[in-house]
Amino acid sequence: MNREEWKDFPAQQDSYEEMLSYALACADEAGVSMKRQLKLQLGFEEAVVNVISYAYEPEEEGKVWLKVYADGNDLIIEIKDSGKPFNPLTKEDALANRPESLEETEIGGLGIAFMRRVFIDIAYHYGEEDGLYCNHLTLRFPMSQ
Amino acid sequence: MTITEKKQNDWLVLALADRLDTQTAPELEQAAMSKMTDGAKVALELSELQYISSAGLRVLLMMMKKSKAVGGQVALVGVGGMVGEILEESGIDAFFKQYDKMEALP
Repeated sequence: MNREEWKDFPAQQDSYEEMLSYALACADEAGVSMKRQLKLQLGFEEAVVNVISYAYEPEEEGKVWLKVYADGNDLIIEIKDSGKPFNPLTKEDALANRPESLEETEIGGLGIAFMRRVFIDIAYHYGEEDGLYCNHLTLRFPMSQ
Repeated sequence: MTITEKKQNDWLVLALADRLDTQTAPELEQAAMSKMTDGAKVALELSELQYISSAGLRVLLMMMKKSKAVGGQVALVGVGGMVGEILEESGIDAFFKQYDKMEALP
């Protein structure tokens, strides 16, 4: 299988397990250890759930495209959707300033906080790709650490 | 994820195994929140839990907030491995009393 081709999934919660299985199969093929795969899952889940939850309106039948492949010592995960423009990097990092109390804890910002700690690079762009305007996220994961 | 209910003194213990993620967090929410009645003591036994994401942390915090509101208690038991790392990194471990084993629950 050519891992540098896009694989598409319906943008719904039911697709999450299949997307995760696909990403972990690619990671396994690339030689990522089981321990590192657990870490990868954490960042991957946060990135994908954001798209599944917010990219499209509930009545829209949107798609998410995935590409997972090795680049030297890193694993690259590219996630694309043609939903509303949204840059996850603009979300506040909930761990940047530790909350002093339970009331202040903002779970919403934990997702991006975990992504920033799992991936050594996160790149986002929005633009036309193959006739569709897409959010395109590229995540770089070190395969050994 | 499997959720097994146990009793230890006057604590209800929910032992979780496998993964607490976006798919399984609703199961925990459903199982736990209904137990958080007035003064209830609920402990999560996490020694068999392999993975937790922000979806799981969200439920933990919901439980803590509800517990405070009803004068109850929530505790974590058997925290370790990646789950322990995530709890520590998120700072959420600071909100919970932790015990090594169920038998240590007061």
